[in-house]
Amino acid sequence: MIVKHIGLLLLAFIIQSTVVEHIAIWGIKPDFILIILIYVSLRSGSLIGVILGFSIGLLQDFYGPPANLGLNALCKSLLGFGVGIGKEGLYKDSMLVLMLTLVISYITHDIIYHIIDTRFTFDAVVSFIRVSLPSVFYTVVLSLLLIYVFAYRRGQLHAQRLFPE
Amino acid sequence: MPRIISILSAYKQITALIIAVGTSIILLSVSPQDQIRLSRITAVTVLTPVQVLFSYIPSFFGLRKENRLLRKELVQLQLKNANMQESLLENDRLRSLLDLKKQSRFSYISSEVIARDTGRGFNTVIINTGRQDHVKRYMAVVTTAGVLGRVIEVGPTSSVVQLLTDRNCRISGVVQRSREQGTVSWQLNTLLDLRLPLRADIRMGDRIVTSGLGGTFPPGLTIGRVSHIVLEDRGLFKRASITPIVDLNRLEEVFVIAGDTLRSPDRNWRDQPLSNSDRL
Repeated sequence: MIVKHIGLLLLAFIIQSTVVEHIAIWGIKPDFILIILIYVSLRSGSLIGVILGFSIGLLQDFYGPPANLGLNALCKSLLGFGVGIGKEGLYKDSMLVLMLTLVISYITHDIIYHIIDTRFTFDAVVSFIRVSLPSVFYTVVLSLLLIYVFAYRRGQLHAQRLFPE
Repeated sequence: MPRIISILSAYKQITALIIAVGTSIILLSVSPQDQIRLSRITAVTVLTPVQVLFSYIPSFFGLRKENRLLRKELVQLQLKNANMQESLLENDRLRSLLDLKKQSRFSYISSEVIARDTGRGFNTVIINTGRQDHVKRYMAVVTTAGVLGRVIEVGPTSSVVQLLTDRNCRISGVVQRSREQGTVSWQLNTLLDLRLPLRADIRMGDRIVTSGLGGTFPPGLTIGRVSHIVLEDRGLFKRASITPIVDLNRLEEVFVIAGDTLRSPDRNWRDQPLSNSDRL
């Protein structure tokens, strides 16, 4: 299971760094890494969420500017931990719960990200409104499509079981 | 000690979170060390072959359209090239008559963007040329439109390019029309910022080019155009917002400026055979 999750995250990273730019609308991009990390954390819990979140975040940081080394690792670790808590408590087969989890996680992640990225200045608010809010919408639409496609292919959409045990 | 270990193992999730957050904060607060640079280069180099494969996917779908456009462009460029060759010869003749010092030219390493920063801004891109192609740190990177950024890390087959829109990238710019100088830096996401004295002569639509100060970027390369001018609160400076000339959403082919290449009449670098690091 863990190997599959690592593979999924790596695939998401490669798609994010190569293909996503071509499906961007006015520079607004969906975040595949975030979708997969939320999925992995919901299925595997906080411990795996933190470890994989930190690892994929660090990989993202290696591709980013040197001054921000550790920023994605920090945000993704917190995200993996926070979402992982929901493994037991959340009713994961509800589409509404999943979408709310995605939106809340995305917004929390980006608030922390922009605050540290802009070094605690007002620019964080502007960056959040300009970059994050449109991306949240795009990511939610895309993840709805992904859930639909995968659940439909597995025949789980009618059975209302989106997360197989 | 065993007691601490038993407590830590009882709260594995919290322990893992503390370690991860602590490490991230340490990384954020220290300046990049050689070990970190080595890890970065290793990570970028290992994933480069896969990213090269994936970067072909979008271009594959647009291949037919691109081919048609390129053929059309080729004909236009051939005509233009013929005219330019004439002008070049004429220029050489006139220069020799005037006994002017030969102007230095630059050689370019042609590269392709294979991956992008996966963070929220446009900070870095990965290109498919590295040490093997004689790319070095702090070399300037341009597109046919203008300045893109500079190389900050070099691996064997790939390099990390810091874009102008990264907050840590500063570049000395000059207003092409009035020759007013200032420093161009990141403002917000896709806009750049130029600070000038209050009486500086700058207008909307002015072209901002590199000044050549600092040594990384040769002078005269286009950075962008002025899209907005404001007076600062205390009225000491003018601040101009610059829209970068390079479309950051459409980056494919870029060029690394490898350095000066003095032209000589008997050994012109344009006539050298093309290699992987082909020189224009």
